[in-house]
Amino acid sequence: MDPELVIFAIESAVKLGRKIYSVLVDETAERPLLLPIGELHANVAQNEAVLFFARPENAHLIGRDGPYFGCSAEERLIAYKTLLHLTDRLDLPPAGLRGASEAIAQIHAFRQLAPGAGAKSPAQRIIGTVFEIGVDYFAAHPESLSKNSAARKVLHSFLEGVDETDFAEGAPMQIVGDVLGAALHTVGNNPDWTIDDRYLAPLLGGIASALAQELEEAAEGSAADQWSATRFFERMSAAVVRGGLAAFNENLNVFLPTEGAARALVSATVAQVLGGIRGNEDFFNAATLELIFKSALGAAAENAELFTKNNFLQKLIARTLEALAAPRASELFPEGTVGIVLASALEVVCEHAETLLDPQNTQEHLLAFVIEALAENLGPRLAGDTKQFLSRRHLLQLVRVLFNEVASHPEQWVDGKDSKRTALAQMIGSVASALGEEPLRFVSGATFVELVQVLVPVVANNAEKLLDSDSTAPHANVLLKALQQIVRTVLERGDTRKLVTRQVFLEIVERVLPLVSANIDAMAGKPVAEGVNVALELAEGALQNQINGENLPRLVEALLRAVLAGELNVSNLAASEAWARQFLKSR
Amino acid sequence: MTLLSHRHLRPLILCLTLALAAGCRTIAFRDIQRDFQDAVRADNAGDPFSDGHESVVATLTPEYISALDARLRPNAWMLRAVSAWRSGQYRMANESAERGRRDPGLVSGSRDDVILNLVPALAIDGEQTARLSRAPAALSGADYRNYETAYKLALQQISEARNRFNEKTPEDVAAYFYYQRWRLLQHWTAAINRLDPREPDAIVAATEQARRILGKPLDEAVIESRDKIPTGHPLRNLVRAQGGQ
Repeated sequence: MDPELVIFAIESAVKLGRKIYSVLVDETAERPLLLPIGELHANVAQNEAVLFFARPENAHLIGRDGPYFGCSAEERLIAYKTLLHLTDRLDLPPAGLRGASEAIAQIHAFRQLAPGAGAKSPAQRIIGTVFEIGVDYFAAHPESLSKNSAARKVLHSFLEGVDETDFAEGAPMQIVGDVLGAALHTVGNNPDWTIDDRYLAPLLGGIASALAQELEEAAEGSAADQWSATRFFERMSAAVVRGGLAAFNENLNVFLPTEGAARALVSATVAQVLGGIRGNEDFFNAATLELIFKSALGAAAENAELFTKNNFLQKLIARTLEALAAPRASELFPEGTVGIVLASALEVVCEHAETLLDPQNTQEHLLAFVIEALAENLGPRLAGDTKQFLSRRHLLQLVRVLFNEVASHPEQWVDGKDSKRTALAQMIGSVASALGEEPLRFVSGATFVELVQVLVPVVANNAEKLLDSDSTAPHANVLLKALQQIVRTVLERGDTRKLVTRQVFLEIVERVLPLVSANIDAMAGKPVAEGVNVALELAEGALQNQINGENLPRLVEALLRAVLAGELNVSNLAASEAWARQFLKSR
Repeated sequence: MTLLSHRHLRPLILCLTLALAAGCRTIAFRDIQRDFQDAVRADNAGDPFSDGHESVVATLTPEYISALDARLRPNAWMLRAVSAWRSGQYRMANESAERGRRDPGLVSGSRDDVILNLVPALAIDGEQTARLSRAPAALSGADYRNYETAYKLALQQISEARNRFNEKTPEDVAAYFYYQRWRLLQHWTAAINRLDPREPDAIVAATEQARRILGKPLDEAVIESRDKIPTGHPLRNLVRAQGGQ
């Protein structure tokens, strides 16, 4: 099939070329069509009964002297069942009606000719569809008929792509047509896109063949499965095409050694993305699927071999979705965020391929651990409504921060343990618990994300001492105790000058925590609480004209250093004041 | 532009116009195919309010069909015959099937070939089931003989459809043929089942006569048709869902 011929056919909505017209007529004549089944005006079981009694060896039973003489059809059926003890066999299946409607729904269009007897190439088999889509598109966008238009290139590449594809005989070709329609509209809506022509054919052919194969496999399930799969593919095929074109527009092809590799990559990525989201399709709309496919293609392109060989992509998506679909996670992650979280995971995988894609030990579960750690520790341990201060944007920022950290140092944060005992879970649980009954007093959505960013490097450098990974609860963690000492001291004192704003709290934590990490033994007492307490005491009393929110964190840090070094006894307020005056003067 | 050049241009313009007209007709016919599919969907779903088949019959007039590309005409006759059958216009179904079978463009063994040969049997069956639904609860032996004659004719016609099978016949179409044969035999048996139970000899005689016509007992013929539909095929599932194992 020469693509130029088909393009010519489309241009010929006004003057239809002879040759392509002939191809179109052949395709129309061979078009698969549904056929009516016709009603069944008979009771099959009753029919079996009457034929049984009409047999010569059984006729005496309904004869004038027989026990069933004069019996109605219904009575004969009962007699037949009784005689042969075949009640079970003859009863209609319990779901008879449903079974009938399912069976009817499964009946597909009947081919005109046996395989091999009709049109040969896939392009010929879908020429009618291509023609109709093309005519519709070019009629609405006549400017696209120019010789070098993007739409012409798409059409050309599409026909090349599908003609090289070995579609199964039963492949649903309408979905292939949908790919073309989506591609035409995508390039039409994005005139600035520059996609290397050489990769268009493998991209469109790869998507079309993978979608057709997926839909064909779905057709092997129940009628309900088939119906929902068809609707899903109809809705989503355009998203997959847009995602694919967008990925190639961003020079995805520079990672691909050959055009042939592009085709294999595209097909495998479509199959793995769809395989990964199977069963959780409701989480996705067209926009999120487009984003996921684009991200997946980007990630897979850079690590094609590992992605395609091990089904890593499918496992990663499936495992991440499993975590997101769990009850607590679905409370934390509102509808619409799931797709973005997944896309974020794919981008992180791309950035950290070296740690996540070890062929001997792929880490498809790692990012799911982040979601589980957040779901199990943030919502349940944080007082009040998590959503009240952690907006979608901040939640997604937090996820991204943690994804990146875990992907960079998986051995520090998850270390093969179950998701509840990981350092990651312990850290999140500690922060959420430490903020007490009024978390909003100390953090906003933005500063909560910053707080976690502050904690991450400190905890990563001393997780063993700051956290207790033998327990699923965070109460024994030094990290929790240190944070709690700050929070409780501020709350108990009252902070009448309101110096400890959210930003000041964040800075105090940032300054104090490294000291705590380096003085674990001292945490048997309450040095942090003492440092904060005396600083606030001085700020509200003798040094109220010298201490403000700007220098308070530095003073707390300095006081804590002095306490830990044994240079200062903060229970002596006069000595503390003198020490603080000296410190503030030197600044 | 001179008259001469006009004279030269006229055939070209005519050719272009004809090509345009033929192309448009083909595209319009594709729309009729789509309408037919919609009618079948509604029909198979048991939608009592759909008049899709009537609409297809009204559009696909003999004049319309004769103006189509020759390669499309057998398919057009098939659509018209099937829609006429399904809308109870049995005479029109037979006439359309007959014209389709005589069309030189009909590909032997194709779906359309098999269906065009099957439609007369389906039309007879449609007439008989409608008649049976209006008949008294118990048929006399004499009443039944009219049904027997009709089903004998239908069976002969259905054999014609079977004879059209060749290497070009899709398996699906063969399954459709056997499903319709199974359904037809069920309807015939239903007519026997309506014989007056106080005339058991008539029941035995009817089944014996069916055996002679079919060359085998009616129940075996039913099972044979059923078993020719591949296991797992949606039509086999439909048989099962209707109690036919």
